Amino acid sequence: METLNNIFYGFSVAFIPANILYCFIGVFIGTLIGVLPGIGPVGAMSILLPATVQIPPISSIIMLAGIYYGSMYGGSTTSILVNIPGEAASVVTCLDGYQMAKQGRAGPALGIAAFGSFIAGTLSVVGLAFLAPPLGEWALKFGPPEYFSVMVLGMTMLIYLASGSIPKAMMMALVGVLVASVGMDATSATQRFTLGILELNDGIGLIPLAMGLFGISEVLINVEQGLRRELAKEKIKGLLPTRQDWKDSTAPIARGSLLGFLFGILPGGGGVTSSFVSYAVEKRISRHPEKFGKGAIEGVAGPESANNAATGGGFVPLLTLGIPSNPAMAMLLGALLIHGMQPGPLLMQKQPDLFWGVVTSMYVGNGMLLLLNLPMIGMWVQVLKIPYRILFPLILLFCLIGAYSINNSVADILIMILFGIVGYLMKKFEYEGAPLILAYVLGPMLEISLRQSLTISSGSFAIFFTRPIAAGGMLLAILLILSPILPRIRKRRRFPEAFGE
Amino acid sequence: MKPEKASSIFWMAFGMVMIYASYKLKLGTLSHPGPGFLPFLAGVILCCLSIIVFLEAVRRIDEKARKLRELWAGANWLSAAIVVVALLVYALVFTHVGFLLSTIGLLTFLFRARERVGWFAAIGGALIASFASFAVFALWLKVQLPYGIIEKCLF
Repeated sequence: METLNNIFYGFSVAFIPANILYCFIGVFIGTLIGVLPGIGPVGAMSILLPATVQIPPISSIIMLAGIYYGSMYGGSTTSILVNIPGEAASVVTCLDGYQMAKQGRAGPALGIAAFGSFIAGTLSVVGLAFLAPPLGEWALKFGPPEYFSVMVLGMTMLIYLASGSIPKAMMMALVGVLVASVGMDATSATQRFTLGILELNDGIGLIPLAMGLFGISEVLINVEQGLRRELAKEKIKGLLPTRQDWKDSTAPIARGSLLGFLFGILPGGGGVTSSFVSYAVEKRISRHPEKFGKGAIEGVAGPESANNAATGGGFVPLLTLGIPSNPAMAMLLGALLIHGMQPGPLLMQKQPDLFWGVVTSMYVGNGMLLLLNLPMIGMWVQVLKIPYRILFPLILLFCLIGAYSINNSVADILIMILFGIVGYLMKKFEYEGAPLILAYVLGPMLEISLRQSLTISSGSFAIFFTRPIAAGGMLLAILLILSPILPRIRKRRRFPEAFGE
Repeated sequence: MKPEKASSIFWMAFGMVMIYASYKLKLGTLSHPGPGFLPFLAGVILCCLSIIVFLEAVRRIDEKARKLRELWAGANWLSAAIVVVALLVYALVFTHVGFLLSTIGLLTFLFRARERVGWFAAIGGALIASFASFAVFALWLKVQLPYGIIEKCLF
């Protein structure tokens, strides 16, 4: 009953005209970002983060959240029409969506992606509204060791689910922790690794770092490779799925919604992982798995629902524990901190208008996205035709303005360019940026939790293994790190046996 | 040389620099960790992981494994380098000549540099984009962009 009252209160905040406007701006920009390959939601959020400093905190979070889940909608458009994912969580949609477009069924593919995203997004917001309060109460029992172990678990999961090498992903997480330690140490007020540069006294900012790693580097890679797009030539007609399409898609949408929400909650999870898992599940349980990859609508409905449901799930650890589950949530955490708000178990009590306003604005945003994505599909198709040689200078311009506007300092622009080069080289050498940015955001909290825990335990690391919640998190993290090694050890043991030694 | 070998050597060197710098900051004790404690720990683990990646690269005998120069094979890396240089020049002149002039120059260069756009289209596009972004960011969102000759004459 209390939750329902809170939801109504949240709607009273979400329906303030200014908040509706910022929600619309956020979902519109998010859809645009999702449609345009070359910059993802994290890059877009980092570019717009400085602009949100000028607007009220609740409105800015509503807008940034809209960018995130809006990009999930938009990403499917370019996956289906151009076979290039607009953002990472829509990679899987290319497999069947583009095939449907080639068969003249782009309309139903786009339609089911939009409807599935709407249903999943709405269900995940319902889950968020009902799950967050009890989780927030439980989180009040967390002390420094528990926070440390959950953060380590979160980074470990992201590392484990990294598409490339696990040692390399771990290295990037450690680099993120090191980058975060530049500047003044909060506990001892010592300057660390500033090299005598005045501008580094406050550390390396999140915005230039993220824009460089995700925005500038992406542009450099695309410019180098000469991004080419081939639009599916068949005319788009009939956006409404048929009765058979709905019959085939209902169960995948339901399964995708649940999977996406659960994966979104898990630290390290998110839209990318949930969409891949959903595709794998649908293919596994389908009576006709041979149809997957050739235009099966289930291959679009399930993953698109999953990646949208994951956005709602991702807000659960962010708003209740103050721990972001993926890089986009890390950007939102940065935005909350810039506005002087500390997400965590007390956020619901101290800032109920922020919490419930953001949650209910997501209901509103999902409705706007359905209206944006279906009737305006013609406009998005035209946007897709804009040549990259026109787009990339504009993306760079927004990055430059965004970086400069933080402190009116050229140093931030130079840091962004530096990390743009670093990000470009990381992509070349196959090192992932997601663990780095997540570890960077968590780094200060991780360090404070670690030092407080060791002070409490008089220097004993056993504190992380004697308290139940902390022990659970640490053991799971250790198991995840060791799990790829175990099959190799078993293989080596069997090898001499096979030769009778 | 394989890319993994080269990158692991780089990260090992980086880790060792961080270990040294953290040690100088004071590690403190286990019961009262100092400012260098976590960076020192991170540096040590980074070095260990770099060694693991290096050894994996050495152990893997794969004739089809990529070589370092193949990372840039068939790629127009010069375009990317030109973009970086353009951005650096922009950053250096930006506050001296003002937002509009420097942005018009940057956008014209970028539109012209890759897959030739005509001068008229490049300059026209640069003017529209520069003034539009000035209107949105400086006038509407009140971002304090540096004023130069054009801004002082017009605003």
